[in-house]
Parts: sequence; structure tokens; C-alpha cells
Amino acid sequence: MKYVYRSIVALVMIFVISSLTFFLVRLMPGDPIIFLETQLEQKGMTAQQAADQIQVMLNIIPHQPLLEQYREWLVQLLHGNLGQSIQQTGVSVRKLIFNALPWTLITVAIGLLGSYVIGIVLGVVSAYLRRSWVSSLIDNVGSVAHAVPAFVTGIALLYLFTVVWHVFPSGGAYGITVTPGFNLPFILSFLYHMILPGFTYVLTTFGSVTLSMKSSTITTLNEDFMMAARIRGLPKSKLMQYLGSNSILPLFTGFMISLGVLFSGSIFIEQTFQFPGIGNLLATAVNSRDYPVMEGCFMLTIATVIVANLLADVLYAKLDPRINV
Amino acid sequence: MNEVLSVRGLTIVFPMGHRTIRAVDNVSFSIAKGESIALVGESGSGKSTIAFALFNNVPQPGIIESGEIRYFQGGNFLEMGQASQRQVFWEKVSMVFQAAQNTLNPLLRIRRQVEDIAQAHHVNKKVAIDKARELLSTMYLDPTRVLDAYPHELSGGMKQRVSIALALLLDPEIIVLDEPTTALDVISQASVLKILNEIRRQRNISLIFITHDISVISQVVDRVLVMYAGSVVESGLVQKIVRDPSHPYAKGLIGSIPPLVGDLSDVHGLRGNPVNLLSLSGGCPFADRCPDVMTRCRTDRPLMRQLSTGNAVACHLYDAEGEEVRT
Repeated sequence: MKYVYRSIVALVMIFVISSLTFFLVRLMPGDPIIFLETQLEQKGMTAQQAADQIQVMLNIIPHQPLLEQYREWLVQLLHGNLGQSIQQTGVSVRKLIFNALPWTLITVAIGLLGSYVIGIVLGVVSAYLRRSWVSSLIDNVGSVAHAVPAFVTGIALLYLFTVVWHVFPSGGAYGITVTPGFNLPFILSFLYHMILPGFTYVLTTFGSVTLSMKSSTITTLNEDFMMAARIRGLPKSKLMQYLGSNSILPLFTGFMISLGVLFSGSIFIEQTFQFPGIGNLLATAVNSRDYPVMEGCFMLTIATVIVANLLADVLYAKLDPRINV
Repeated sequence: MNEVLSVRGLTIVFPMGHRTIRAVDNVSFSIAKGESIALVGESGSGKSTIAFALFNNVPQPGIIESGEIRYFQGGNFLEMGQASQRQVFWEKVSMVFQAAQNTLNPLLRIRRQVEDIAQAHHVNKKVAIDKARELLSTMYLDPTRVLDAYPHELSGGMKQRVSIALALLLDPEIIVLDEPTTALDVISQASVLKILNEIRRQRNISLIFITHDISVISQVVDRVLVMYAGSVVESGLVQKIVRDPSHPYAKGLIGSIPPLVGDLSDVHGLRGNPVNLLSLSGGCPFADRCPDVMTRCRTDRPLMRQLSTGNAVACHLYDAEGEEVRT
């Protein structure tokens, strides 16, 4: 019952926030429809001809009142239709997103997994060796990696590995010689192309995971029940189990929120590596004021973040008996 | 006398920057089978540190500098390998912790924690659960409800009793009780002590109480060691210490207990603050607060002397009496 209620709240939230973005996007200076209209008029059309032409091309009525546009958008949305791109005439937003999503999804999933595995291992090592120089080395490397922005890390890697050493390709998601599909050459080519973007993602994320894992491990190590477990004669494997389950809990929420990034990608990283994912799609859409594509990308991110939060709440209660949703 | 534990010359230091603190200084005591003793002293007197040393688990950054701990007249426990130490833990010697509320893993039901202990010591899980049921009943707890509960679903007093039940799970011969009643209200204190006393009589186990409150445990212990600044300043039978303490610190400690009936004006606290272990000189650590301080107290450390009353005391006031005890 509680879950039903929470799901309804989540749905309402998704609706409200996407409605807000609908208006926000249109508040940006520069209207692509007016631009197109002017272009057509310069070719010698009358205002009426230009408007008709646009309506035929894009299924958009120029100079329609905003609320009317919103009403139309809502009706289409309820039919599961996100509209079509203004820039790439005739291509539906859904298709653009479905084309871009797998690249981002797989790359970020691998990057996220990598950064959490590395972060957790380094955090635990740093907590255990907290009196040694190894710990301060790990902490400082983690802080610096976390503090350097993704586009700087990305450009540095790009420069080093493609300009200086020619090890990895500088952009794209796969080579031109392979055919996309479920075949080995394509998969290998994709993995080869995603190493740099994925690595950039790991480099910029693992630092914060390391630092929070370290602090929660130290907190747990100093808990009375860990000392009690030692004195009760529990074997090392059991102690690690007690330590692990208790110290990883605080990281869980952060992990679930990062799942939102899974579906939005990183604009900076994908732009740097010319990676055809969602981040790149959004950046291009923003630059060309492609309203429907922007809205589609935003809605995807909004929905994932809210659903991930809901999921985090539900799963957290399963992991920690003290929490009651 | 069947000695189950003997501690000789135990010294524990805590390095603090350039200096080291001697939290426990050359402490020796022993305990016989079925005997109940108490280490009494104020905060910072080193009594809890001794409790953890008995498990070779001194809190960081403490180091056991010297000394011997022998269980059941065996080899020095501190020099054993981890595997042999783990055999002694809980099977032979168990502990009821200070703030026992926090000594249960918050993510696991009590049943799982009982099973984990059983598994670690190669005891059949079902046998252990049955044993736990029996023990929880003697603690006036509903076994089924408690076993299926998470720690946060139990009250502080209940967790304390669960902690005592866990300590008894493997039939140990010695139980170390670190402030077992401090977190409890007076009624729970009385019932916990009653339970402990019954169990001790039934199973003939030895108890080591670590406490600052001599009045609470005086009914359940045979012998008392009064500690000050890391050393034992007086030891003897509990009645002797309570009625006729010899060391000025023990006198002050006993004199500061408010009587249940009578005039509170007879109650006097000890003057001064607990000693700063960093500023200890060569003399008696209690010299600065002692009402009977003499010149030699500032320079010479008093040695333990056996008095005719039966108590042993480390104080220059008694230099003329009794004979020195080897420690």
C-alpha cells in the first residue's frame, strides 16, 4: 500500500517537473521556429506560406500561444509520443533517444561499476592503513581526481592517448569498418572506442566513492559491535562480512542516485570524445534549440532520477532493518 | 586453590606523540575457580584497559609493554598465536561489555548472531539456539521474540540481558563484566546482578567485575582491587575494604558513597581531579590529592604491603606494618 502511494507521488513528480522543463526550455533566448520562418520568408515566401510550410514539415503551428502548445504536448505525451526533432526534420525524438541510449547506458554502467569497485576497494584499504602513508596517498589521489572537472580529465586523456601516443581512437562509438549488430568485431570495436570515455568517467567518480567508503569503514571499525565480534572469536571472514555490510550502507543511496547519470550520460565526456550518446544528443539539441529533443532527454533523466530514488528507498529498507519506509 | 586466571606485572602504555602514558602500571592479580572479584576505580584508572588486555585486544594505540596473562595455569596468553587465542575467546573467557547496547550487529537478527558465534566455535547451530532459548528464559526474556528481533527492536535493558546470555552461550569459565549495570536503571541493575549471582552459584564460574561503583557490586563479589592511575593501590576481601579501607584513596572512595539512611553531611567527595597520567612523577600517583601526604610520597613509589587486617595496600602510611608483597 505504501509502495502504491509512493509510486503515485513519483509519477506526479515526474509530470510536474517535465511540465516545468517544457516552459523553461521555451524561456531560452532564440526560437528555432522564428528562425526557420525568417529563412523561408527570405526565400520569397509570404508569412502565411512560411507558416503553412513549417506546419507541414514539423507539425508545429508557429506563433501558437504557449498554453495551447503545452496542451498539445500533453495530449501527445499521454499517447507516448515525444514529438519529432526540429533539426533533423521528420525523425521522432523517441528514435533519436533509442539510438543514443545504448551507447551511454553501456559506457556509464561499466564506468559506474568500475568507479564503485575501485572506490570501495581503495576506501577499505585506506581505512585499514589509516596510520600509514598509503592512506594519505590514496586520499589525496582520490581528492584530486574528484576535484578535476570531467572535461579537463577528458581532454588530458584525449591528448595523451590519441595525440601523443596514438593508442585509442579520438571519437565515435565504433570503427567505420564494422557493421553494428551482435557480432564480435563490432563489440570489440565498441569496447575499444569506449575505453577513453569510460576511463574518464571512472577517474572523475572513484575519488568521492573512495573518500566516503573510507570514512564509513573507519566509523564501522570503531563500532562496539566490531570489537565485540572479535572478542566473541568470530573468524576473519565473518568480521569482514559484518564490516562490509555495515560500512557499504551509506554509499548505497549515492549509488542509486548515480543511476540517473546512467540515462543522461555526461555532456562533457561525450562531447569531448564525440561519443554518440544521450549527453551528446542533449548538447546538440540545446545548441540548436531543438525543443522536443531537449524535452525528451530531460524527461528521461527526470524519470530515472525519481525512479532510482524510489527504488533506493524501497531497497534500503530491505538492506537495513532499522529503516522503515 | 584452583587458579583460573593469573595476571603478572601487566603494563600497558599508550604512545601520545613524544610521550607515553602508562594506563596500566605493573598490575598483578589472580582469580580462583568460582571466585568473583572486582576492579574498582574512577574513570581513567585503567580498569577497562585491563579488561581488553585479557583478550589481547587493547584499544588502539595501546600496547601491552610487558606482563603475563595465564589462563588455567597454561602458557602466556599474550604470546599465543591468533588461532589459539580465538579458542580461548568466548569458549573459556567471555565478556559483557560496557554499553552492551551497541555490541550487537544492527543488521542481523539475534538468532543469526547466536548462530555466528556457534559456527565460529564449531558448535551445532540448533544446540546453540536451544541453549540461547534457555539462557534468555533465565533472564526473564521471551526467547522466541528476542531471537527473531533485530537489536533496535529491543530496549537497553533487554539488550544488556541478551549480551549476558551471549556471554554464557558457550559455558565459559570466566566472565569479564565491564560496567555491566551502568546503563541500567536501579531495578534492572538489581535483577541483572541477581541473575549473575545465581548463574555463578549454579555453574561455579568466575566473575571479574570492572566498575566505578563499589556499592552496587559489593553483594556479588568476594574480593576487590582498588585501582588508581593504572596501579592497584589496595586489595582485599570486599567486607574488609568496604568497612575498613586502609589506603587514603580507598577511604575517600568508600566515604563518597551516599548512605541509604542517615545524614548526607557525612558523605565527602575526594578533593581534586583524577590524575593526569601524562604528569606522573616518580612518587605516589595519589600524592597530590592525598589528605595524609608526606614528603617521601612525592619521591618514592610505595610498594604493595600485606597488612595484618588481610588487605594489601600500597601506601607509605603503612611502611612500618606488614611485609612487602612480590608483584
